[in-house]
Amino acid sequence: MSGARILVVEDEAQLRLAVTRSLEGHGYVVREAGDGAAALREVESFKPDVVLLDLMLPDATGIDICRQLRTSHDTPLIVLSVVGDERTKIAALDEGADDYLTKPFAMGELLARVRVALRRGSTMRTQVPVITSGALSIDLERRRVTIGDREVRPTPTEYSLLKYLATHAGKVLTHPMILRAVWGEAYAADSHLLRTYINQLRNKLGDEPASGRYIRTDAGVGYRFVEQADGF
Amino acid sequence: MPVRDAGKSPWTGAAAAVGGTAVLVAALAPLRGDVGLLNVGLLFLLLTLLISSLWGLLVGAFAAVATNLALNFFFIEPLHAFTVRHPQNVIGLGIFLVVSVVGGSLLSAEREAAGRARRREAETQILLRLSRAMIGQTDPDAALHALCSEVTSAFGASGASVLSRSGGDWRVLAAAGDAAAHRPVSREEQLMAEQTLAGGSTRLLGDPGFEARRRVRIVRPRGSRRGDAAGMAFVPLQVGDRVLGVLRLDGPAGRDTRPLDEPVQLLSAFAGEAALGVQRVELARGAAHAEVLKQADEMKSALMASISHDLKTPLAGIKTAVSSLLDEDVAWGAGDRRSFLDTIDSQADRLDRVITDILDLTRIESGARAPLLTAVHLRDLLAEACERTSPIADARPTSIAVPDDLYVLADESLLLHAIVNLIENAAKYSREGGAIRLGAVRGAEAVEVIVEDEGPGIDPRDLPHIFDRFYRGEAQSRRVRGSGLGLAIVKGFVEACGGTVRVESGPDRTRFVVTMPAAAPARVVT
Repeated sequence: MSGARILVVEDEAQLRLAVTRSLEGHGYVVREAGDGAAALREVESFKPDVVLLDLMLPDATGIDICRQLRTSHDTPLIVLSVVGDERTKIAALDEGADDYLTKPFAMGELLARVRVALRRGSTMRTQVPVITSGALSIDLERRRVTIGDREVRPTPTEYSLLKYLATHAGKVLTHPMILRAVWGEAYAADSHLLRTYINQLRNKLGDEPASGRYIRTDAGVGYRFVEQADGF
Repeated sequence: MPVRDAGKSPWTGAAAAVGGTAVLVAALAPLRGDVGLLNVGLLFLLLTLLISSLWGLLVGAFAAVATNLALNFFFIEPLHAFTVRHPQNVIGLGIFLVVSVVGGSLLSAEREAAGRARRREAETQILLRLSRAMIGQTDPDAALHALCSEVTSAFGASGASVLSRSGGDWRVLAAAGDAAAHRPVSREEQLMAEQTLAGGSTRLLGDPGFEARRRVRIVRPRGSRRGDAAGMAFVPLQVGDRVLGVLRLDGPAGRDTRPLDEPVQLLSAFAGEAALGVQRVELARGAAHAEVLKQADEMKSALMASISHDLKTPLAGIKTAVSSLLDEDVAWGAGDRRSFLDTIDSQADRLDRVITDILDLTRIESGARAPLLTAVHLRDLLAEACERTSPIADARPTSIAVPDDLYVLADESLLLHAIVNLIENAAKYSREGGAIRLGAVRGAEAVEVIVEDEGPGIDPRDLPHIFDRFYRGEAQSRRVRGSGLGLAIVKGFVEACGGTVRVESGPDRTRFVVTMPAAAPARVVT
């Protein structure tokens, strides 16, 4: 998706520069922001398709920026964090960030995440009644789940879980987010419940926890539904 | 003090009753006809009530009988015989007896109640004093000592000590009173201490002189006689199942103390209170220790977060640039390649600086690098520091105002590093475009090196901590990135050179003052 607009929010000038150059080399249109205020300005004027957001900014934390962005935009957000920022990272995901990348990262990985985020941005705009990932197909209108010709029969809760994950394909969903969406606020802390249902669902889908064909585990963070076309 | 007057034994009371009666008889018998029988009877009644109130019910009853007999013998017809002629006199004597006994018993009950209340109050006072003495203690040994000295004064003992068993041996944990209180635990005492713990109640060895007649088994050492040297009391110190030890209380050497009414009960209450106090101190100590551990843990995670951030950030720049260069999908132009290589170069330098900082600080702190002290030409050193910091401080007017003949005794590379850090700190945290001034003030034996910026100053709350490792001011940590090591390194290096560093900060300037010993030119100290 060349020509897509990417906003790089990072206060380390050298890193920002390297990322920008690299993205531009891959045909993206890039703008840079060195702090939170500039980031919010650029989101309004530049209207990026994806935002890369550093968690530690001179004038605000990435979490603040996530929150402010999400009040008026659903632009896909990829958080850039350093080991040790786990709590901040999860908080940012809870505030609506879509994905995260731990520094240092290879550009190839960042590019892959950007592609996923861009696709998510486009699927959000067009409501698809059927979500597919490889052989898996979820018909949201008829509530039918099939793998190839075989029909999978999830329980109503398993179906809600799968639907929530699949409609947010590519986005990292934290445990509390999923629990709130599927079970309700009272269950937001019950990670064990979620783990149990994820296991049942994976069994029915013939999914392995290690490889995660459809549902990928982000240890200690959450789960994401994988659209198999993007190969990670 | 809760006391029972030692002089008021019942025998004294009986003697007083007999004596009082005799005096009344001697005084009134000659006036028998003039005074009137009723008045004589009232006077005898008064005597009986007095005796009752002073010596209690039993002695009072004795006095009632004695006065009754005297009244009959000396004042009622026929005189000088215990017979009574008129029937109304028989009734009168009977009523007299009843009135004096009942009145006496009421008085003595009143007196006992008052005495009990007094004792209660005194006991409460003793326990209160003990609580007060123990409550301020933060150290278990001090708490035990306070216990010993309180119990010594409260019970008029000659000394008190806390014994504790470790392995099979008993030893003295704390003691107060005379020198003997510190004596080692004898065989016999060990046995008593064991029995005390096994029984869980107070035991006395000999007569400790606490007037512990009731409720106590007195174990008299074989061969000892009453009136020998004072005995001892052994009191268990325990809270629930937890045994803290045994309190060994030496009786007073003389018997001139005021013995307590129920010393054993009070001793037990005292011991219970004391054991709680000691346990409280131990718990507080444990909590303080846990707090220290927790802080150390927080320190460690702050260190990990800081180090990982400082190391990973430049690494991220390098990795991004390298992986871009390796990407064969893009044919990079010369400008792009140059830009990636610049990133790699500058970030590698930065990584090197962070690692050097961490290693330097570790070396100085562990003593692995001993400072090499020489006479350092201050202006040259400051000039070099400015040169090194030019990439950061370039946009700022920087001035050096130092006499040319100023030398300080220092390790040149350590002091240079410290000054560089101070200039970097000024450049990072002061207002944009503000000047940085370097100066020096010559003192008698020391030189003050000054690094000053133009504000906005340091939050007063942060001031006491800014030399702490990994401390970053609340506002600063948002505005500027840093390891939180810079100023800790300044302090560590300056102190390693035998100097000191302090900070003064106001709204329009922050001034770091490094005080170093003055040196004569080219003097080398090894």
